Amino acid sequence: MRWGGFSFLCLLCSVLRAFFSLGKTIQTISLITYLIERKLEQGPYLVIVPLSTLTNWTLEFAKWAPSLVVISYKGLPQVRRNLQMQLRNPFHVLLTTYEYIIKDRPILCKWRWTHMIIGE
Amino acid sequence: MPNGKPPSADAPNVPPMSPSPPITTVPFTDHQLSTLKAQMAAWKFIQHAAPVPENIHHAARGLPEPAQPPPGRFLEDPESLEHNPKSKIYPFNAYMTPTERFKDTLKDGSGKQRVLMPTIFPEGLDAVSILQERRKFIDARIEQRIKELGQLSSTIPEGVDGPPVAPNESKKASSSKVTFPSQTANGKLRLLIEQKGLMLRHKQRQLRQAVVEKMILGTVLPTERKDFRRIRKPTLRDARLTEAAERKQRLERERRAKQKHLEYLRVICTHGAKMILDKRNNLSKIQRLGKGIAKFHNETEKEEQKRIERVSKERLRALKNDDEEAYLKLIDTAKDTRITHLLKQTDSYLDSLAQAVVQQQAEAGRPLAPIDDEPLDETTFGASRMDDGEDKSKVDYYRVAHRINEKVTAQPKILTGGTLKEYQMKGLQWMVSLYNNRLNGILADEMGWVFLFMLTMLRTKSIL
Repeated sequence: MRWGGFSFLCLLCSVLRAFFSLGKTIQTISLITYLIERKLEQGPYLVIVPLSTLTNWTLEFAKWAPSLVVISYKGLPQVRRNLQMQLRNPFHVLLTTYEYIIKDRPILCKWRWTHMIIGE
Repeated sequence: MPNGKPPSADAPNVPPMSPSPPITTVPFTDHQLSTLKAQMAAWKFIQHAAPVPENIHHAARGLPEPAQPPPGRFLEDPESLEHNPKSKIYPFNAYMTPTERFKDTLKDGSGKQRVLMPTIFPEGLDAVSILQERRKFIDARIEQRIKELGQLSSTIPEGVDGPPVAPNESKKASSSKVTFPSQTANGKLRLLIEQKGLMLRHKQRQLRQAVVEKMILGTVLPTERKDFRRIRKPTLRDARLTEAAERKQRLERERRAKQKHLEYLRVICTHGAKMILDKRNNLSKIQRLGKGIAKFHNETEKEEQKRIERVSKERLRALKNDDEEAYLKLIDTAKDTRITHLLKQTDSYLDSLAQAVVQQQAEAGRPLAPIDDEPLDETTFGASRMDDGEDKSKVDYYRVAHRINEKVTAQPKILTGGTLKEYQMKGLQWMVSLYNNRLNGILADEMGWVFLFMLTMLRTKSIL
């Protein structure tokens, strides 16, 4: 998966019927855990979600996969600078929003992400 | 007096049965004539009930009568006209007196054997005429006397005695205890009284008649009750009762008339009301019919709606269950061409995508892994087949795309906090397959489409 490129052509368009509150968050988390556990893909996962759902995602991660190291990248620039320090340590998931991706793209480009999950 | 007439004067004395004779040619002698005149004068006196003066009386007697027996009225006179051959009626005398017939027998016998011939009744006396004559006579006498008295009373001075009376009567009068004045006393007064009494005769007559009538009544037997019934005198109470009864009758009459009239009106009203009721019933019937029809239409419409709803629900359910076939069927029934169109487009996109995937895999140089023994299709991931499954001509997208098949049965251990649901496991399997086959994917719902659109916008604007 290439960062900065998002191949729509490889998109699997089959609509997985998923109505409201069917737990897409949970499914995503389960996928991540599966990959980490079975496929041994420890590589950092980038999860981009709207700011409004960020807290929810954090909670869900804490509830369903407490063993994962999840960093919520948000806050004032000072806070973010601290988080960047924290990022030097190994982590599983970086949870952030669109704005911060755009803002801190040069910083976040440094890591080689294995998978990106975009939420809405 | 008629007996004293001379036989020669018999000529005018014709029996009334024989027809009146014509003017006789037998002349009267002078003596006879004078006698006749005297007789006529005497007759006049008698008619007026006045005494006949003596000279006329004597003159009327005339010559002494002959010794001949006065001829009876029914004895035939041989000198009469009937027997006189010289008279004109001689042979034509139809009348034959009965004595003529029996003359022979009378002559033969001594006359002792009288033949009784009942038809020869002597002409009787007419009692009524006699009475009338008597009355007339009496009235004439009374009148005469009144006149006399009137003349006499004026001449007689008072205190003079009246004409002498028979001694018998005077004796009678004196024998009683009461002494009456002598009959001859107070002559004028007496005459006056007599005159007044005579003049009162009419009144007396009336009085007598009244007395007689009442006396008759007294002697009559009460054969008829009606005459002796005492009529009840109508009192005021009776009048009041009558009035009341009349009033009641009148009221009754009026009441009856009014009742009739009211009955008539009532009949009309009831008839009118009945008519209105009938019309209303008809109207309501028609209305009900209309309502029934409208209801029927409504119900059919509702049922149609329900059917449509049911179909759409089933369609959605089929969609939920990924029953493409049933879905298409239902879509067709719902006649929603848009959805059909969209589905067709989706199919075509899937085909193109499959082709693209094949191409990409070929470019990527991935060894085409053999198709697993297990046929792979969307059922692996929990979806249900929509096509018949017989059409293998087109490239099965799922088979192409998900060459690498990995089953996910158990939940990853580090996933704590709960258990994944069945469909979530399927989703996980699908995502793992994505990972295995190096594919990207979107797990989305309806919101996802909005998101897709947004991403497309971003991509086109080269933000990402």
